[in-house]
Amino acid sequence: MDGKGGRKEAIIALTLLGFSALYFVSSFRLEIGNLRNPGPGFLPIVTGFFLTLCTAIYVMRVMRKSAGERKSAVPGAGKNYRAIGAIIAAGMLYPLILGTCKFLISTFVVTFLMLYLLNPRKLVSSFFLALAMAIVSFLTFSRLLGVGLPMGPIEIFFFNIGG
Amino acid sequence: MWEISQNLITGFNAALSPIYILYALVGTILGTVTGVLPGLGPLGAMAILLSFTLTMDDTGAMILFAGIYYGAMYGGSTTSILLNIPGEAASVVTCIDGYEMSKKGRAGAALTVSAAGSFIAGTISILGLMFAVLFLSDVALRFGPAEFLAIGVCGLTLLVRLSGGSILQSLIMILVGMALATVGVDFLSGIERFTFGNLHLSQGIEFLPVAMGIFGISEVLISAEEKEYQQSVKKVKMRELLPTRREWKRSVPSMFRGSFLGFLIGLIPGPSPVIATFVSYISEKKISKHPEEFGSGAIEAVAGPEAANNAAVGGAYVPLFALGIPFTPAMAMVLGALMLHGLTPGPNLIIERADLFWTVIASMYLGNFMLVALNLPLVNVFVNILRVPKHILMPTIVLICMIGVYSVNSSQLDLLLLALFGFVGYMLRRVGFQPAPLILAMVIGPMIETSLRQALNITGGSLADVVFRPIGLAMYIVTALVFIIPAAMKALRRLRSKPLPRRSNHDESL
Repeated sequence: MDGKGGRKEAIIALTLLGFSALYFVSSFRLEIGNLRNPGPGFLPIVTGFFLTLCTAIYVMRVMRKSAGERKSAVPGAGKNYRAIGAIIAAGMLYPLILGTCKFLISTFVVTFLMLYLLNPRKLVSSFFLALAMAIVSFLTFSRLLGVGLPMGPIEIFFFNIGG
Repeated sequence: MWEISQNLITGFNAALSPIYILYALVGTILGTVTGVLPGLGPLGAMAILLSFTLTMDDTGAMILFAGIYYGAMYGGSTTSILLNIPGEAASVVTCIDGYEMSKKGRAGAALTVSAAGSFIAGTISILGLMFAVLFLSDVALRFGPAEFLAIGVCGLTLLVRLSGGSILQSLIMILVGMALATVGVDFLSGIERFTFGNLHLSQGIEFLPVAMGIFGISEVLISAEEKEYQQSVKKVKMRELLPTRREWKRSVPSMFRGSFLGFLIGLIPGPSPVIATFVSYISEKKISKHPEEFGSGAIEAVAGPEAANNAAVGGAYVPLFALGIPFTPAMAMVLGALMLHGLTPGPNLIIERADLFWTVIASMYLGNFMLVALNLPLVNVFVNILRVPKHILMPTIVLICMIGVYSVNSSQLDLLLLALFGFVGYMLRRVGFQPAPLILAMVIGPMIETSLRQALNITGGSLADVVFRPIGLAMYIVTALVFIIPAAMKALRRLRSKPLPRRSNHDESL
């Protein structure tokens, strides 16, 4: 693993430790009960304790490893981070606009975003492909599979085509 | 025996109805397609289709999923043999000798042997599944909370050992899964846990967005990391498909050995189809008369592992149907589909919903037949799927995942969870964490908690009475041995390989 990878692992290890500690501390708010009658906090406390312990050991291991690796840091191989960013951005954006923009517009927007960012040279074809994917997915899932999707006037128009 | 035959005939009557044949056909085709595509394995396909099974009846959903699982196992081998690209993890071993055979112009023979092996393994494992489920579910009816606790704990513990990667990382994943499973209302006391006042969280963290995020979206993200490449696709002629008499003679015993081995390995927790292929490869090499050919195109090395991975699928269904506990991530998906339809798998399911069980069993036979009948003639069509550009394929998969998650609860929070767990899954996988233990712990966690609390209640708080019960104790001992034996063997090997202390000059002079 290169230096970048070691740093990434350290960040993940610390995030896991933070999550574990938060979970462990929060579990004390719940009633523990006793062995005869365990309460809702019984398993969370046990789980939280072991989780915190394991992640603490993991953090120590990663830190020890990273310290050794930082000296021989090699730049990471050229990864397609734009594609990853496009997919994550689309995933976060979709729930935010779905309620307001309804299915067709929001699906078109996020699909276009992904298609364009994954292949920026093809703006026009990305536009039409996104449009086609939004309409086809609406007709497939809503009309064919009976899935309840957020509907506005445009969706109602498409839904009623063909009776 | 008479009753089994009667039930099976009833199952076939139902499975042969046009709609169920259609579901089996769609399942095997979809499974093969996802098996062909690198990155998107049976889990991804099941995760994507999980919500759409709501529009089907429960039996139809099970038939579809069984078809996907079998199809993906077979589809993965096609690209392994022709292109040296394993469609999914269980096909990695097939690449070694399958691709070598392909380079020697024996791709057709390798594909046919792989299909025949899958068919034989499928049939043997379905027979095994039938008898094992009936036997085990009968026994499981006598299980109490202590036994179910033992099954859950031992299952997860074995998963730590078998899921690959480091033990510490697997343990962390299991504990995170258990922690996530405790979010929401505690159904024994009605008290909210870790909801932070959020109404949506009081219903708990849904399994579907987590599974689809961790398996579906993260898989797409990993695949997106690499720049697009153009894959040259080889064509296989129909007349090349027939193996020679010598090739048949060498591969048939391997198929049977792989089938039995795969079924047994399928019963244990973890990525059983993957483990089964490796074990089969090693054992075939050990008993082969031509071990020197392994790695350069030995047909047994294709027949055995291919049979093993398909047989493991049947084995993996046993704990789910008999005990209601999924031991593999794919079975967790099947459990999710059953629960979406309001069904709780376990020993009672076979009594209460015998129609479902026997129709699914019968449809598995049909699905197996469909795989052979469809895949060999259509091998070139399936391989051509790899020509779809990545920048179109990936947004399509993400879109289907998003619509799939939304369609279950019409919840935007579920969509956010999908994106969040997709990113989390991607980051964790980049540093070597295996997501399967997290998902399984999320599914098995609530059962462990309920069984533990009930068992302690019954025994008046005596932990000894919970642990020292015959069946449970046997399970704990076996699980402990799984950890102790390899450690002891490792220590023994280290001891043996230690160089002997040098003799002193004085000794030499003597």
